[in-house]
Amino acid sequence: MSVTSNTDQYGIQHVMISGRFDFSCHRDFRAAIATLNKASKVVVDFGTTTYIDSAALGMLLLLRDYMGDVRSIRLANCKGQPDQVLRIANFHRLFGYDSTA
Amino acid sequence: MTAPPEPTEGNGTLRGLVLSVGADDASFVRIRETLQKLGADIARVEDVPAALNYMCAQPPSLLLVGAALSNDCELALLHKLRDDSLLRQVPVMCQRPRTEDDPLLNDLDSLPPHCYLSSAFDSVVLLSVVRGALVGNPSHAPPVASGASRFELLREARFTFRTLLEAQELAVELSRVCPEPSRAELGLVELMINAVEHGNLEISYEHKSMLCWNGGWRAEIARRLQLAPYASREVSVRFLRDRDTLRFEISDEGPGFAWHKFLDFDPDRSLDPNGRGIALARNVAFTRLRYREPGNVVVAEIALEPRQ
Repeated sequence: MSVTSNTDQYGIQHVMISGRFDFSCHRDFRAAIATLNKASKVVVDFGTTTYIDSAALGMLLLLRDYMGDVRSIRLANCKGQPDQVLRIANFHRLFGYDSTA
Repeated sequence: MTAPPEPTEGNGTLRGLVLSVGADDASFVRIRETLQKLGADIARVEDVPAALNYMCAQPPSLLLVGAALSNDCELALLHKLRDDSLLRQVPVMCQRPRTEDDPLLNDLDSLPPHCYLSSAFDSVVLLSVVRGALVGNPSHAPPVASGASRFELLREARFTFRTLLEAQELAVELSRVCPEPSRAELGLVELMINAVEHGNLEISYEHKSMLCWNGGWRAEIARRLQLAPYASREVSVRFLRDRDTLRFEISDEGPGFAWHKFLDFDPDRSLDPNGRGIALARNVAFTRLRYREPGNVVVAEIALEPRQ
C-alpha cells in the first residue's frame, strides 16, 4: 500500500491509496491524516485501491473524526472489492460517495 | 496465489491490472493518465519487497519498473521474477535511461522471458506494450495459479499461527481453495485477526476502540504477543472439504466473547473505528457462520456449486 496526497488548484486535498488498504496501513494512513488541513475538503481516491478490510473502514472513521465535518470528505472512484465492502458497511451513507462501478 | 481475472476487451477498453513499482510521483501521474485511455486498473508500490508481496497475492497483467529503483534493485527484482515459475510469466516493462555499462544490458540472457526495455517514458510505447499484455496474447496472459488445481485435492488440513502477519498470509493461501478467493480472503482475515487480538490477546472491544483512536493498536498487539499468558497461545485453523461445502474452523485459546451482537452491523456503533469484521465476513465471504460457546471457536462455511 502507498498513500500519497496533494492539493489541487481549487484547494481540495486528494488522498490516493494504491494497492491494499488494510490493517497493516494504520501507521501510514494516520501519518497522512495528520498532514491534512481541516479547513479544506478531502477526496479519498480509491481508483487504484485493490482491497480493503474492516480496519480500513476504521481508518476512514479516524479521518472523519479528525476533519470534524463529514461534509468535507468524499470517497471517490470506488470500484470492485472496495466499493462492495464500503457499501455493505453503509459507508456510502456515512460519507460523500462516488462510485465508478 | 490469487490469479486476476482474464483481461477482456470490449467497447474500446481493456480490463486487467498493471502494477507500477519504482515510479516517482510525476511519472506515476503520466502512467496513470496514459493507461486510463485503455481502461486498465493500475496499482502502485514503492520498492522490490512490496512489489513481490503484491505480485504473490495478485499477479498483475503487466509490471512497470520505474527509474526510482536503483539499477541493482531493478536487476534483483528481474532475477526474482525469472526464478519464480509463476511470476516469470508476467510481462515486465522497464523504463529508464541507460548507459552502455548498465548491468542489465550486460545480463540480457538472465532476464524474465517477457521483458521490455524502454530508454525513456514514451506514452505510445507504453500503450502498445500494455495493450499487448492485456489483449489476450496467450504468452502474455496473466499467470494462472496452478496451485488452485492442486488445492482442489486437499480434503482436510490443520494450521496454527500466532501473529497478525501469519493470519494474513494463511488467509491468502487458504482463500485459494475457495470459489471466490478475494471474498474468502477478506472473511478469513477478519475472523483470524479477531482470534488473535480479541481471543488469544484478550483485547476488549472498548480497549481496541481506544487503541484505534490513539494509534497504539499495533504496539499493544506486539506487546501482548511477548507477554504471559498470551505469548504461548496459538490460533488453530482446521480446514475440511466435503462434496458441497468448504468448512473453516478457527479456534483460539482465549476465554471467548459476546459474539451475538457482532454478527450484524449495528447502527449504534456506526461511528466506532472497530467492530465490523465479523459482520463483514458473514456478509461478504461465507454462506454460513456460527460461533460455539463461549465464543472462542468460529465455524465458517462456503457452499460449493454442484459439480457438472
